[in-house]
Amino acid sequence: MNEQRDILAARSRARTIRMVGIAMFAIGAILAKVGTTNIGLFIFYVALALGGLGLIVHSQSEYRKTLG
Amino acid sequence: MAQFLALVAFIAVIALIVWAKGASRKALNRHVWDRTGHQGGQVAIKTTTSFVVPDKAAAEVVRTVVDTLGYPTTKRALAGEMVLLGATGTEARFALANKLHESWMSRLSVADESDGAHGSYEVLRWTLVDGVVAGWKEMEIVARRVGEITTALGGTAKVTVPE
Repeated sequence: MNEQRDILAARSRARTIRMVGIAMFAIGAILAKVGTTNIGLFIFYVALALGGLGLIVHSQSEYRKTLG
Repeated sequence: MAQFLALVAFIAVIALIVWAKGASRKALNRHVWDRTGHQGGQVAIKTTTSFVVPDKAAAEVVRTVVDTLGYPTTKRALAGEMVLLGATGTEARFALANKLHESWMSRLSVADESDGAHGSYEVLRWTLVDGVVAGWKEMEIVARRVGEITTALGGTAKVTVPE
């Protein structure tokens, strides 16, 4: 029973990480596409998008762990 | 007439370029960028896990597999997750899906025989993303879990991958 609860909690955590990743990727990608004259800011936008992608991939591997 | 032929030729060239771009992207994905994914996916879609669980009823085997896997019965809005599409006394269907799209669907079917429950698990439908099977890792995991669960019930499981 506890094990099942842990699995459900882990799935929920993976889902939350994925949503954060999707939001980060979308915001970073949109801002990078819009562009800026500040190179530092541009690098930050790209890093935000890449960080979001990383979180999406990480959430997927976390979710797979809950499958067995 | 010449203008019409030129237009047809132009459209044909554009269609050829679009097709060639798609085909080369798929080929690159299958043979260079995601070779492991392509090979893993091809094996996963062909794999059938057959099992025999002596002295157990089919309904009990289906119920145990469904309960142990513990997949939800409702699809999420965005996140593609494993779901239980439906279960009867002799069959259960699973999918990796969200509300908009099913990446793949599989079936566990079990029948009562004189010596116990005989059954199989296989992927029925799948989708390709750039030439590679979508969600092939989940396919592998679920097939392995079905084998483990039926073995834990006291049965024997056999994995078959046709050439």
